[in-house]
Amino acid sequence: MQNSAISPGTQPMIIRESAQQKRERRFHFLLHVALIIYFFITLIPFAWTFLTSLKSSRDVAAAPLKIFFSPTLDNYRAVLFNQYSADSAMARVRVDIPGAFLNSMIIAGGATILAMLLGNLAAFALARYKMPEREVYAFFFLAFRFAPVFVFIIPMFIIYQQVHLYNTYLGMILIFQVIAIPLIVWTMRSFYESIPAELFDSASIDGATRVQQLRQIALPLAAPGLAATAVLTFIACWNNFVFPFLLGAKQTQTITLATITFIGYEEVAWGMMTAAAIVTIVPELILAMFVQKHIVRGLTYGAVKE
Amino acid sequence: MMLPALIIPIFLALVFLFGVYLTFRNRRLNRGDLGFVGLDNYAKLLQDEKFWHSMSLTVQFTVIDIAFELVLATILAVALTQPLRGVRFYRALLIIPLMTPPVVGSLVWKVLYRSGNGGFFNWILWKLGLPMQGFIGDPTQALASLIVINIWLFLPFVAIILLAGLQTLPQEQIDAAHVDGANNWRVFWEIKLPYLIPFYIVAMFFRVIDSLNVFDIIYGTTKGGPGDTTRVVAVNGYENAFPFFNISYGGAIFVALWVLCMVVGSLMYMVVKRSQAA
Repeated sequence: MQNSAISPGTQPMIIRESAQQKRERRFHFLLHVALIIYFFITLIPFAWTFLTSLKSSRDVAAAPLKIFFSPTLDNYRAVLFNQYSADSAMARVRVDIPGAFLNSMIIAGGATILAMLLGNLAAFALARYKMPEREVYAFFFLAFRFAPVFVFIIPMFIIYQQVHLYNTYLGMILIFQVIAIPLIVWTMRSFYESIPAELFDSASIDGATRVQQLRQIALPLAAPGLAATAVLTFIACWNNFVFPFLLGAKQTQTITLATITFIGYEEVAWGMMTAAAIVTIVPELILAMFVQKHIVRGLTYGAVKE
Repeated sequence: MMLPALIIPIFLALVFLFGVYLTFRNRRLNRGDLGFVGLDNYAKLLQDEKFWHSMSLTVQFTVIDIAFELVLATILAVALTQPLRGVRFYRALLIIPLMTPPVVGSLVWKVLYRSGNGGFFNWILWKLGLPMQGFIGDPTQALASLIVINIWLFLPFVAIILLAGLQTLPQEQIDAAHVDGANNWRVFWEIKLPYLIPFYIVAMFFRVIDSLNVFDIIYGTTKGGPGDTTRVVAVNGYENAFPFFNISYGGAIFVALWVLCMVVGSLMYMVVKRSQAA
């Protein structure tokens, strides 16, 4: 069907339009089907994880697998409250998930707060002040994103053992700045750049210092971006595996790390592992829902604005 | 104002330099510092077949992973910018895998990949009367199975970037092309795709760096095996540095990987800068 033949207001157009609408409706129907199939496939792993987490250790081990089974909350009792049922074959594998959850909150939260305090200063300076060496600084921050995290972990492993920061909250929060500061500097810089310059110009004529401009103009105006950036930084820290894996031990074990400890050499505690995975993911999904609007900007370090 | 924010990054940069210095020594986690060895670790690296094997796996992983992500994400982004009912709901679903910690995501897939008819995929194959597969346990399938996990995790990342790009494309431009007689296919190839180029570059910038550094999902599943079939550079370097105690040699492997990432990353950074300036 040739669209070019359409000339507004003529009789045949109405007929043609309805034919086109019909075609469009069929296309949209097929698109819905395709998208539903796509999301069904991508969400199967979560659905299966959730189902597995409701199985008793006997049902988990069953082969062929059981689609129908009597659900149990034993795995959640174990991972949420450290209550292990006596009949659980997996009672031998004990991981303190509530403790790990708390560790994750302290480490990811602490790292986010510290990086927000420091990173916003740099972000604001990079956005507002036209220093010739500005791009050099910006690149310096971004270069951390290029680097394999192991180039920091290996020397830090030696340093931390010397200065007793190994397996401490402080040590964790410090190493997490490798990922937190660049993310905040680049994302917040793009938020600050989108604030009209005149606002700052008139404030500086009135004698406001840079810090006052940041506190009284930039921060309130960038508040939604600030919140989104903080959430994404928190999630990035929460998701990190290698820092607590190599620079910490039991006392700083995060939940991401704890989930993997259900994999033993002889057996995998599938039920508890999947329950722990659900406990790890759900808080993040709740947080992520609040920042959907700014998620692209955060994920691309401010390179793509929505 | 810059200064307070620079203190920690400068300290971390010094830590990195100390790491480079360590590669010129022979430091063992179990035997201490065995002295200065100059470029020996790098000379060893150049002749280490395991290293080159891991490098080849890493490049394969990166190229295949990103090729699939770019193509599939393009289709998804175009689909999700159609005037569909419920499109916002679909977009919300899109980011779920992206918020999952990669290591946990890989564990989730490990459950699906389980061998025997107790595993989800194998149970389906078994029900259909098809031969069961080893997936991550089979040397010929392990790398591909891991790429599937990685695509599942990061396809949404590329898709939402392209989606954001398509949403900024002025609708008038598309309408004008339609009036000129262009069909949807030509609008896609001649308007949408060229418009998206800077967005592709941004997405690739992050995806290439992250794929070259892939570690979490492999540690969560195969730990490099079976055999050496998934022992990528990061896994190889980690093993040398920690389980094998040779922290200087492991460090040298990561310095080599750092050079590769720096070259690739800087080139793409310059392209991004230029495309934004234009």
